[in-house]
Amino acid sequence: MLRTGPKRKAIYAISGHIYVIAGLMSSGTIWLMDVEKDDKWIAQRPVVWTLIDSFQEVAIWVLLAIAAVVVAMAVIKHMADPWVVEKLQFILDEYQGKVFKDLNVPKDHNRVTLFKYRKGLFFRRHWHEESKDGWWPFKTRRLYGNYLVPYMRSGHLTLRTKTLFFIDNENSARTQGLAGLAWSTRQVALLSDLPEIKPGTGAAKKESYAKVTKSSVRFVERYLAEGRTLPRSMAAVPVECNGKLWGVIVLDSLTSLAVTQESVEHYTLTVALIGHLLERA
Amino acid sequence: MRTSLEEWISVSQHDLNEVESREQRGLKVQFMVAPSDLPSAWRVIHEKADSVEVEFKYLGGNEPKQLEHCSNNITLEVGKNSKRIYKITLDVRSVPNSGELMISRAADVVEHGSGLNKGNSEVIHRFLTSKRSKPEILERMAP
Repeated sequence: MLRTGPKRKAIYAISGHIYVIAGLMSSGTIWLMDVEKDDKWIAQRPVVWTLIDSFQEVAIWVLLAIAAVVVAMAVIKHMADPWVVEKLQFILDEYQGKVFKDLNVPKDHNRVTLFKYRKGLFFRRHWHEESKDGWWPFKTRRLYGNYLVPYMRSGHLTLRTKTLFFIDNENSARTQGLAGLAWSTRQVALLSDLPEIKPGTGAAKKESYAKVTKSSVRFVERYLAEGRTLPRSMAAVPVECNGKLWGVIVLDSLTSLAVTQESVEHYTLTVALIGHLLERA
Repeated sequence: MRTSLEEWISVSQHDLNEVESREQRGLKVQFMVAPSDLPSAWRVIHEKADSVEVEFKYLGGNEPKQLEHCSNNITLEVGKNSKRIYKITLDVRSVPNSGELMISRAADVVEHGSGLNKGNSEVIHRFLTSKRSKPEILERMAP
């Protein structure tokens, strides 16, 4: 789950100047490598020559280190801009605060999560129960697939979620979760007034819940076994970036009628703004 | 060139975004058009003497567009990635100079156009044919 802090901000800020710093440092190193003992300006400075001579022995490694730092900073620069991450986090937190009015419940009872579409991921844990025999020896890990993976979540709880949704672009029937349904239909999918599912709830009810949420009974049972409560209302909203589908925002709540049509309709601008910010994420 | 009528008019997204419900095992799944596929505003442009354009604005970001020449001498400007309709150009030389007929032909093209964004084309079709917006479009299309 993407977050930003002072360290990340500082590294990102430095990465903006690294090309200038690296350019100056490498020029200086190359110049020092070319200095010779009988050069006019150094002939009268034996101490300086001793230092330069020692430096010349390791100069090639210094150049390699500068190159490595430049590559690392280029990778960091390619990652999400901390400013954008901060704003996205603010928007998700505000979205959560506005949609879910009940402030006296823990933040993980009503969540807003941004999922990103990622192509070609290997060995991701998979909770759908179909065709798992073919995945031996990985059992619940599919060798290769496309997924909606958690990118950012409102609030400060359940940030270590590993829930991801398998996307099959060739057969939408195999796509998982309400998020997957929103992705494949490119529409907002909304479920409210879902039944309360407890560990002792009958198999038929669990099956209905799994069917309508495009999950599986195995997932429902595992979720309950971990002591977690299943959402009773949720919505999945496709998010676009430059006209292309980027991911899905999922609103979910433990309250049966907390997510409604208005939770989406009144916040179209919020969703659009997220899409605009994602251009720089 | 006339510009006085070319200001953007906001669209009532609530009116256009019809909720479709499907029931599965006694539980209801509702579907709505994605916010990015709903036009936020529209306008009519009389830029050229031989054509009238109905343009739509969306909340989503910019994307490259392409022209699709359809039947009835109607041209659609469509988003390359999203396949949303950004502009409908009606050739007034070949289309009879009746606003009503032009709109109904445009609605027909939008309804049956291939390769368009389904949710968006449904919304645009609804917009062109709805009792509320149609008279306003006709009024602005009048020469």
